[in-house]
Amino acid sequence: MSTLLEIKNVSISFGGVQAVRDVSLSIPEGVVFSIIGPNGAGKTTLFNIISGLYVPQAGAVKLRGADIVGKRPDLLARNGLSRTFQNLQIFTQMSAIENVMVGRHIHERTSTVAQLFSLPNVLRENRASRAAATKLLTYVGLEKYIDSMASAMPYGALKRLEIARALATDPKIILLDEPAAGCNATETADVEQLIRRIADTGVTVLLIEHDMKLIMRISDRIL
Amino acid sequence: MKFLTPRILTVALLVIVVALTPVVLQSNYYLRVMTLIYVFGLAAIGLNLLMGFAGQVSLGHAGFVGIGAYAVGIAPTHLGIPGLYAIVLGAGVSAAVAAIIGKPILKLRGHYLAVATLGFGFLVALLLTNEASWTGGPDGMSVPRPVIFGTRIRTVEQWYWITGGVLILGTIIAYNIASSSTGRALRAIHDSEIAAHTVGVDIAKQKFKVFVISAVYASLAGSLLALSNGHITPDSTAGFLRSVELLTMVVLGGLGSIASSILGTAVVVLLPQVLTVFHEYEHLVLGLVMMLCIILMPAGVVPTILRRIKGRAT
Amino acid sequence: MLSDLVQYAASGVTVGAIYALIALGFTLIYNSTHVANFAQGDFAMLGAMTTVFVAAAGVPVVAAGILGILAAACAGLLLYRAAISFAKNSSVLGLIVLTIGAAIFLKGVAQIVFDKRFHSLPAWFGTEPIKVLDATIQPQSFVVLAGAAVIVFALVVFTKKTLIGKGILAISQNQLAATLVGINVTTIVTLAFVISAAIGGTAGILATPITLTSYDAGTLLSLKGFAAAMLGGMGSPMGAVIGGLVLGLVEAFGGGLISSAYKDAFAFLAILVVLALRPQGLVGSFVRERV
Repeated sequence: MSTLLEIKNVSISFGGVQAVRDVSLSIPEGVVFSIIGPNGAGKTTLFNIISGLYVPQAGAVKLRGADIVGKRPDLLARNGLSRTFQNLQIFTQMSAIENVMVGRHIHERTSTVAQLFSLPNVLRENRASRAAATKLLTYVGLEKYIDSMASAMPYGALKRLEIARALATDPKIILLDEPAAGCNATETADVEQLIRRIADTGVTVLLIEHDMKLIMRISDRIL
Repeated sequence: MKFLTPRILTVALLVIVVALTPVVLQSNYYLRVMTLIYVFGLAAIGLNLLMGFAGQVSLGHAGFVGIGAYAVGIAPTHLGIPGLYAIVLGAGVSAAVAAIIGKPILKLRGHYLAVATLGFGFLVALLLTNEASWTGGPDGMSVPRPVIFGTRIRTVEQWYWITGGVLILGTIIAYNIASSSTGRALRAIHDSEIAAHTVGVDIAKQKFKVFVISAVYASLAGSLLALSNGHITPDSTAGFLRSVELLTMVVLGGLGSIASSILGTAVVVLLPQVLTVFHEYEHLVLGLVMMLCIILMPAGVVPTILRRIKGRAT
Repeated sequence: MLSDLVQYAASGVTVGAIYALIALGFTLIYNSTHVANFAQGDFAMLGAMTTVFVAAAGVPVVAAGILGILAAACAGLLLYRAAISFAKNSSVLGLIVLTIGAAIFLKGVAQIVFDKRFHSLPAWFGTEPIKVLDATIQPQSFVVLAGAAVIVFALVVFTKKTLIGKGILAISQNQLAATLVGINVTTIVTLAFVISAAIGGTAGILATPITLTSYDAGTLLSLKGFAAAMLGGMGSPMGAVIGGLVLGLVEAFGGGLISSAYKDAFAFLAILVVLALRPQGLVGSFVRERV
């Protein structure tokens, strides 16, 4: 298995507080890789570094061999990296399907001028995005919420909505930040099953989770 | 029912209003007031794309109205460029200016962006006031009426139809943007910039794009205002109070809805016409109405009324 | 040449002190409610106009001034209690429209209660200019500076030493937490509005012998105060003072050395440049968004 994501001696501190110190890990393609540790250990900070939101003060992050430190998050998304958030970052004033359609953004290529006049290629693109989003919502089990406003959806559904949105970019690697947090036993089982299905399609999964049972059952590697 | 989307409904209503107003209200006064609504409606729609959709504040959008207005004043008078080309020239200049200042200032957030745009509007107004040899100074300048197909466009009625037509086109284009990937990206930025960024939306590029588009809308409105009025001053086009008016149109109508912007504009344009009966109490009542609208209808006039109607129906 | 520069510096600092006071009031309200109050300059106008008219009715100037400050304070009280406290669900933009509405309303009130002419107040220590390094400085400039210094000092002591001051500080950090530890948020926010308006009123009265006042003098003051607060860094009282002084100096030197017609332009150009380089203002601290 070739290495998909490699993190070498990464460190970052905020105003004197060392949030991540000298972390190194190597994630092979196609695995479910879990990161565990107590609250405040810097797991989410590490995710923020990998997804381009923070720039580490030291160390290197390589995606398929290319250094990605300092690259903007949207460029990383175009390179096949996608993520969800521990504290939900939902587009609350949009419907569920629109949330997922935003995830199709990097695959939408019509020019702004064509969009101003709603040329046929734009309409075709809108239909394609809608179809892809519908499929993804069904895939994560949210088909009954398709046209619901995100602000009116329950917490557990929003967790899965974030996963659907992240999948919409067609990622090579998906970073899931506590996907089962706040979920009851049935919901956790659903999430577990979902992660399995994502991994089965060949997408690499990097997972932060506190539910040890879940982690033990689905992880290929644990840090 | 699916056929009656807000987009089709709004455009259809707009066409009906534009077509029937001259039949119902046969007086130049009313046509002139409606022309003002159409002109500022155009600017408000553009500003709504920036504020209501992308969530970026502008307290200086009248600056672009000023550029558009003075383009059709200055270009024919001083440069010998005919009025119609001057409209395009103004839009081009506005887009270029928006592109130049947009890069640095759109990085700013909230009130910082507000003060930067405020400063921009102020600078335009000051330039127009002080460069009197070009602009006529604080007293303004007269704008030559353009010639289309050999006829000089000068009557109230002619401008009524032109501005009405342009507003309909502007509305359709705004709906097109809203329903495209750009529109979705803008709304996503409004709700969570971080999430939008991590799914691949180039935040800076999208903000930049909508800023330029909204500047062109404002500029076109300015050109039409100047041409239909025949006379312009810095205060009536680029002044701070103009920017405040545009802001009020968008917020009062309801952020993020294109139809609301047009109705918000109608309220803001009609209010002073109605309030002239209060004579010296005009300011007092205007301020009071603005405060009451925000307190009683925080989501905007149109969404509040719509919710009221829906609430009664169910 | 030197005398010119001293002259610009003196007038810049004087005007800057006025901007600083407006910006300080602006910051106080922003910290307690996150409202950008565009009626701040109208508090100054109200204080000044009230003083002018009460003094003209034969009341001693000092008493008239106190009444003027009280009038501004009442306007501040009403702005919060009768308007802003009812608009909790409004967006940031809605609140901007609300306070601009309040500003227009106050302008309308002044236009009816007072009049539409320009007015001045007698300078406290006459108008005999004082010579400093060949530059002539009006005695009122020193009054403005001294007044501003006293207010800034009093506000610092008030925030650091009194319970109410600490309450305002706590609310600006975290309103929910402040409520949980038993701070009466409504009372404290009301006080912040009253104090802020009183500071605005005082600024207006101090400035009137130099700059004159009229019913519509508030708008430009509001904008300059807002600009000064942002230039310094939103939410920082120290930033408001520095921002005000910098703004005043830039205007005076730009207007004096380059072009007086573009006096206001220099101020806003300076803001655009500063914010392009430091998006958080001169002394503001950068806030990292938490995910």
